[in-house]
Amino acid sequence: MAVALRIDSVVKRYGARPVLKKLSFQATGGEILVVAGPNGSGKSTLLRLVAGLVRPGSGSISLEIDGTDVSDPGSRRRAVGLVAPEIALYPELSGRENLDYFDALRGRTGLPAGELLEAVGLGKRGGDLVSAYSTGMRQRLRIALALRHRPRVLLLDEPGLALDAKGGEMLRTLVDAHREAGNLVLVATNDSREAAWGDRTIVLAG
Amino acid sequence: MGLPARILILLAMGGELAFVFLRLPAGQGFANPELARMIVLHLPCAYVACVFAFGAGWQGIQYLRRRELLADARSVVAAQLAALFAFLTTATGSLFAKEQWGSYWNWDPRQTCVAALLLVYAAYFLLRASVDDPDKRAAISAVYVLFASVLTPTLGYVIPRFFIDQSLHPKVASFDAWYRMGIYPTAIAVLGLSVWIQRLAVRGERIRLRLEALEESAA
Amino acid sequence: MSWLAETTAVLAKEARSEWRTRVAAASLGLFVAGALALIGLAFARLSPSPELRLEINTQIAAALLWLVILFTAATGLGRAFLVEEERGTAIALRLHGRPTAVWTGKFLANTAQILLLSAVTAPILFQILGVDVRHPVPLVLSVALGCTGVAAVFSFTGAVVAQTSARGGLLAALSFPVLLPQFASGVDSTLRAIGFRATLSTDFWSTSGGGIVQLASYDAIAITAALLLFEHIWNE
Repeated sequence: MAVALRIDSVVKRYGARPVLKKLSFQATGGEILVVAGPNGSGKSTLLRLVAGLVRPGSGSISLEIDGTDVSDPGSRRRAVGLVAPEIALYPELSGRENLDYFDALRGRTGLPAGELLEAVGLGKRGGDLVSAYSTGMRQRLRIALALRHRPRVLLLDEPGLALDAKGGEMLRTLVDAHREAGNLVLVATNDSREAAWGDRTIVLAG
Repeated sequence: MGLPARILILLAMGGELAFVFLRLPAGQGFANPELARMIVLHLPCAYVACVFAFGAGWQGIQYLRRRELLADARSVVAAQLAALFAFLTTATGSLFAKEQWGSYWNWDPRQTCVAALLLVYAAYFLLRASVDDPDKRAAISAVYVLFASVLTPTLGYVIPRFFIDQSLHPKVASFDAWYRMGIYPTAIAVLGLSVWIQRLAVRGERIRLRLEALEESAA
Repeated sequence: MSWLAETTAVLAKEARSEWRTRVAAASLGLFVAGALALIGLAFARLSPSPELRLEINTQIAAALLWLVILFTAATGLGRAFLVEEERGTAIALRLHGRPTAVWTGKFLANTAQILLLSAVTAPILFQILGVDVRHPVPLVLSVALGCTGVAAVFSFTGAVVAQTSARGGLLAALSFPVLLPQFASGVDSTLRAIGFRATLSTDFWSTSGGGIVQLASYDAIAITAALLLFEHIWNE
């Protein structure tokens, strides 16, 4: 498989409170893996661990893409796309300017902004400042941002929270397309509809 | 640290102090020759402060490389000792200056540099107190102590050596045999004493870390 | 080459954000204006005799300039990273940006800010104090190099403080001791450029060039140290 993710006995604590206790699983490209569990069970933490934003207390995370090992956090961060509610975008810039800024940080190698904005339903609002966006629009922009650099691993943390029905459909289409292209999608969710997208589900105990 | 080593250190300290106060001749060419003997305490404090300042930085690097909290514990202890000896250096230096040249503080480059280092350590401990998460605290402490250590001594001390003409500190130190006998063994004895303290403190930290690890795995 | 493009992107975005909100420029500008007014008021009272007043003012002008620069920096330069953490934009920056490019872009933005403020402050301050500058080019060089070092330190300590709960409170405490050598060199160089502590010859460089070298060395070391250490606190 072109994408191979492996989580091995990962432990993560915040202060004295353990959030992930010796979690192990594997996932490959071409599948949608749903991560379910009650609030506080570590779903968001797991996604951040995979994204290379936090380090595990013990255990290891390895990621291989097209034969190249991208396990070190710096490389992982560049290889994944993350959609999470805590990701804020610059309100004083427009949607398009936000996308272009982060694309510039990656060497301007991403997909064309216009098409992407159309795909997430922001085609006409790309030039407006993010401060004028509704919550749903910001979520659509986050999705566009996560997809722009063609990540082989897409991480979605409660992605449908702010989206309306049409937005939900848009997301489903994008996620399926991403999976069809041989990429890996991890969805952390409490929503039963989103949970149904998954080819597989892992449940984190609280 | 073994018992023979500890006894040796205590004897060396005691012996040196006795030597300084009973046998060492008074310093020539100073306003107060008797109290010029203080140099025998001042210089060892300075050397030891340098050693531990370097140690704190080194352990900081070790933490950043290996992310083990024990390296952080060693770094903190070294920083505490460096701060203590920097303070003693400043204190003995100020007293010396008062006796010989009439004032406690002269804005001499080295004097000011050590004072800046004291402020750096104070800020370092404040910084540690403002972070709860142990790993983040360790990373931030290591990074700050390295940043400050590179800038403050290097530029406060090394470069001015080439550019500033007037200083209370001699450019080249010349000590006669008696004073050399006083200064260098004292330096070794004080170093031994401080290493003893450091090992005790680190042992305490190691126990604390092990206790925390045990509590976590029981939870 | 890509690194340079990335750094420029960060700098451009900082400039654009600043231009659109104008928060930092306005508040810092007011800070400087207030400080200069206070200085003018305080020093107008110093001495009735104009010669004596000029003598005193010339001696303190350099020190006052650098104090104003330092306090302005402490007020305004720490925000660069703090604002990212507080608003939540730091996460996206960590995911997409290279640490050294991010730091350098922010550092350059800070440098531009403090240079601009100094360029306005220095002439006004000297005017208020009635001080003439004997060697203008060395003065500009001293202030420029000194400000660069100040920006480098505050950019770094700002990043450190952004990760703590104390936020802004610790910034000055962390930065001032580290800046002591730069401050000392800056004041000394500026004094010589003004012409006080003058050498009898009119050549600045033969006697005071060392100070400029010191300022430049500090900048080089501070920037290098920051670049090496930044990613250890930026990324967990």
